[in-house]
Order: sequence, then structure tokens, then C-alpha cells
Amino acid sequence: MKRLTLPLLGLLLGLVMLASLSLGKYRVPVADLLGFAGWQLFDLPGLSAEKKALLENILLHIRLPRILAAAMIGASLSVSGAAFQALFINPLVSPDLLGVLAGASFGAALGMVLSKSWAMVQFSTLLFGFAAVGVAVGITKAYRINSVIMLVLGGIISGSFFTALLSIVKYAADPTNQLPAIVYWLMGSLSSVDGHTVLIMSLPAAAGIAAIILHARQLNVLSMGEEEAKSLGINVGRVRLVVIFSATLISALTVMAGGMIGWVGLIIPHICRMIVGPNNQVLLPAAALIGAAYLVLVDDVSRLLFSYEIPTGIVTSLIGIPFFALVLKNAQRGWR
Amino acid sequence: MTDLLQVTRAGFAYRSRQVLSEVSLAFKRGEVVSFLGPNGSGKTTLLKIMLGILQPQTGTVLFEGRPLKTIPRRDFARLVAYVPQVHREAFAYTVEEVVLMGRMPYHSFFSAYSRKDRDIAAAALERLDIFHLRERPYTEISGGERQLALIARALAQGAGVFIMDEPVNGLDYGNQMRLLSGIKVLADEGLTFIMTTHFPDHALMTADRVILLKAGSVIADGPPAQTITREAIFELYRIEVNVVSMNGSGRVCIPVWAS
Repeated sequence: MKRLTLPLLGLLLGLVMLASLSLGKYRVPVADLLGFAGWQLFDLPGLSAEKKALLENILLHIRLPRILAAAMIGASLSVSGAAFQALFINPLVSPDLLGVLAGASFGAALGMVLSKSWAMVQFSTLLFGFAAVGVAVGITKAYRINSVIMLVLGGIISGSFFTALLSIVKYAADPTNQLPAIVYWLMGSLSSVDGHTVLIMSLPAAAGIAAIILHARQLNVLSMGEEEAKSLGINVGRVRLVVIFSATLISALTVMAGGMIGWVGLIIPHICRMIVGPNNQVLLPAAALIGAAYLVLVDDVSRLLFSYEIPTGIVTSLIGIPFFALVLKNAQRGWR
Repeated sequence: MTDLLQVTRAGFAYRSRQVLSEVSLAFKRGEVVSFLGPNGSGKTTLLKIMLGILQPQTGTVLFEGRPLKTIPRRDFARLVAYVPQVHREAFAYTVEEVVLMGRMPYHSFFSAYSRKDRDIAAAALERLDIFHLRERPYTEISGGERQLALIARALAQGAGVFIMDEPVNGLDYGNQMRLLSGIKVLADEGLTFIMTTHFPDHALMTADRVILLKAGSVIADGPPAQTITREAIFELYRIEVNVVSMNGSGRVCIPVWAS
């Protein structure tokens, strides 16, 4: 059974993504999905030219990029959350612990105010995501105290600082066009994702997720405590560097693609731990698969629940916050 | 013959607080050494220096004649194991997963745990009589069992030297005694133990060498019969004791107020 967990979760993700392709204002029946796939992949006949054009537009240009983006964002946030929880030895921390989401949000808002080019906005998002984590780590280094708690406090300072900077940008933004754009962006929505964005983010996101999963065993040992990890031959500094860098990269990419999608990185690793246990060798890939499936589903809900679309970030928060309240009793583990 | 571990004139300070000054010690293979000293006397810091977790600000540490900092961490982990104080962990790894971590130093980045690793872990669990706990979450077993699991991990590490920081800390009397007798058994098989303790009696029971630390300096070093005396205990702890020889069962310290 244990061996089958990950393949089964992979299958689940595949099914959720397929179902999501068919769901929408314009429902595409499974038969049409298959016919379309046959035509695209093997050049099979069977669909009328009109239908081909319609399906190509709906499936390839609208739904597929959005579903892929949702899957990547869900996987990225869940993996970086799970990795941070091991690294900081606390099952209740989120990927935002070192301020990456605050920094990236500020970067996105600044980009929207200063530049017309979407590429610049994306670059600015990534840049300030890294800058915020750099500030958090820098504060720790400046005091030459290399402890987890110092890093956490550095993250709080950095996160608050970039949140304040974000307020300045909002205040200074043109209130008729820019401010609403920023506010909607920060609510977290996948409605503006296009194929181009998905292409840009897929490679670095996959690389970041892979880099973290490859360090699963090291993270297991590190979550027993830094000194024990050293005494077991782990290069603690290198593991921290790789994991923090990768988690920052993939978290900033999620803001770049869909704005602030909260709570996924906290609750999905938690749920995964209930299902597959805490061993990161299984937990991290499971978090990637379940996180991806979860966000694709939540995005379906936000597309379909009402006649107008609600931002996905609001739905993830509405699900995540009560869940967090339910698991709070586990907070007695970890730091005390 | 080169010493197993040699500390020469080691000094260490946390900011302005001098924790160790001019500590020189040498250890031989097969010894069971207990460090005794009041809180803040530098015992734990000294252990961490001998483990290479902390670097001494002055002085040197040699392992089998080689400077500690030139030995790659992974190689060192195969030679010397660290058994920390019992702690409660955030994540409920199974006992077997915890013991398997002891096999980390034998793996390159990509190679997975093998059949052999699992066999070694199982053997370590059996040796400490906790094989039946292997599937249990490490967070849900008792403190004594957790300490045994950490020792099993050190055994799986294949190291000949065990460095332990207050191994009986937080255990009840029964578990303390079981643990100490276990240490004695492993020591008789040739393993080296270097540990700290708060209990002179435990040092009398297990150690063949006792080192007294006070305010970061060694004040006595030798067999327990010569080092654990009423004068030494008073010097360390400001407590008057009688060191009493029991008929056929060793010696114990009894506080004067209690006798």
C-alpha cells in the first residue's frame, strides 16, 4: 500500500485536472475531450472544423494554462511549506515565514505602478521576493546568531517592512486604475494566467521543487535539531541555503503567476502528514501532488460557484483559516 | 600510540563570558569517562567542541592525531556518535526512521537507504530490546525509550565513540538504572563513552575515569575512587557528603544532612 501512495496521488491529480478541463461555463463532455485529444495528439478525424476551433480556444488557450498554473502554484506552495516546517522544526509555519510573499507582493505592486510592461512586473515580483528573504537572513547574519528563532524573527521584521512598503505603493498609486489592479492582484486570482506565464514559470518551479525533494532525507535529519544533524554528517549550512533559496524561488513564482494565494502552504503539508506520515521522502512528493490537486479544485470552485468569478486566494483563505483553528492544538509541538 | 581524542589548551567564550579556559585532556579507546561539574561549568560546551559542533577559540582538538576540523563531517560521523539529551520532537517519525538516520553518513547525496541499512538498524534496535517499538512514533514513546532509540541510532552509525550529554536526564529511576547498565554492557564490548552527568553516584557506578570541571577548568582527573571525594564534591557543589563504601556493591555519596 505504501508503495502505491504516490502513484495513486499522481492518478488523482491527473483525474482532477482532466475533470477541470471539462468543467466551466461552457461544459466540454468527456467524449469531446477525448476527441480533441485524439485530434491534437494523433491527428484523428471526428470533430467538425468549427468545434475544433472552439475547443482549441477554450481548452488550450483558456483552461489548460489556468489548470497547469493552479497545479504548479499548489505544488510549489505545499512543497515550500513542508520544507520550511522541517527546516524550522515546527509543523505550523508557512512558506511566508521569511517574508517572501510580502516582498513579492510589494514587488508586483511596485512593478504595476512604475511599468507598463508585464515582464517588468514579473521580474520585480521575483526580485523583491528574494530581497525580503535576503533581509531576513541578513538580519540574522548581522547579529552573528545562527539560530532558527533568529531567522524567524528576521522573517517577521522583513515581512512587516515589505508590507509597510506595499502600503506606501498602494497609497501612491493612481486610485482609478492602478490601485484596484493591485488590490485585485493581491487577492490572488488565476483569471489572468496565460500560456506564456505558465511556460516561463514551469521550468524554475519544477527545478525548485526537485531541489527540495532531493534534500528530503537531509531535511528529516535537520528536523531533529541542528547539532544532531551536524553530528550525523549533514552539511547544515548548505542544506539550509539550497532549501531556503529553492523555497523562495518557487514561492515568489506563485505570486508572479497568481498573486497572493494564502494558507495552501500551511494546511496541505499538514493534511499530507496525516495521510503519509512525517518522513519527508514521501511527504514532499505527496505534498506536491495533493497541493496541486487541491488548488486545481479550489480554482474550479472559484470559477464555478457563483455566476461571477471570485478570487481563488479568498477561497483558499476561507478554507484554510478554519482548518488552521482546528489543528492549533498541535501547536504544542515544535517551539515551546 | 596516539590518543583517540586529544584536547590541548582549549578555550571558549560566549561573547564576554569565558566558559572554558586552557582545558587539556586526552582520551584512550575503550574508556568510560564521566564529566562532573555544576551547571555552567562548561561540560556541554566541551562535549560540543569534541564533537566539532563548536570550534574552540584557542587550542586544538585532535582525533587520532588529526585536527578535528580537517576531518570531513561525514567521515567523523562514522567514528564518533552524539547522543543528545532526551528531547521531544516536532515530527512523529517512527522509531525505525529515527534509527535509520544513523546511516546517513554512509550515503552519498543520491543513494537511498538499502536492505543492509535496514538490517543494521534492526540489529541496533534488537540489541537495546526496543525492536518491538520500531513502528511506533518517536514522539509517543516514553523518555527512557526515546533515549534508547537515540542510542540505537548511534549504534547504527557504526561509531566506536559515544559522546552523551546527560544521558539519564529526565528519566525515572528504573530507566536511569537500565540505561546505565546498558552503557556498561556496551562499554565492556569495547565502545568508548564520554558523557556528562549530574550524579556522582552514576559516575561511581559506570565510569572508569572521572573528570571534574569547575568554572571552565579541570580540577581533578582520575579513577572515581580518587576523584570523587567529600572534598571534591564540596568544592564542586558546596554540599557536604560522606562517600561510603558499601559491602560488595561499590561506593555511594550520601549527603551529611541525610545521614
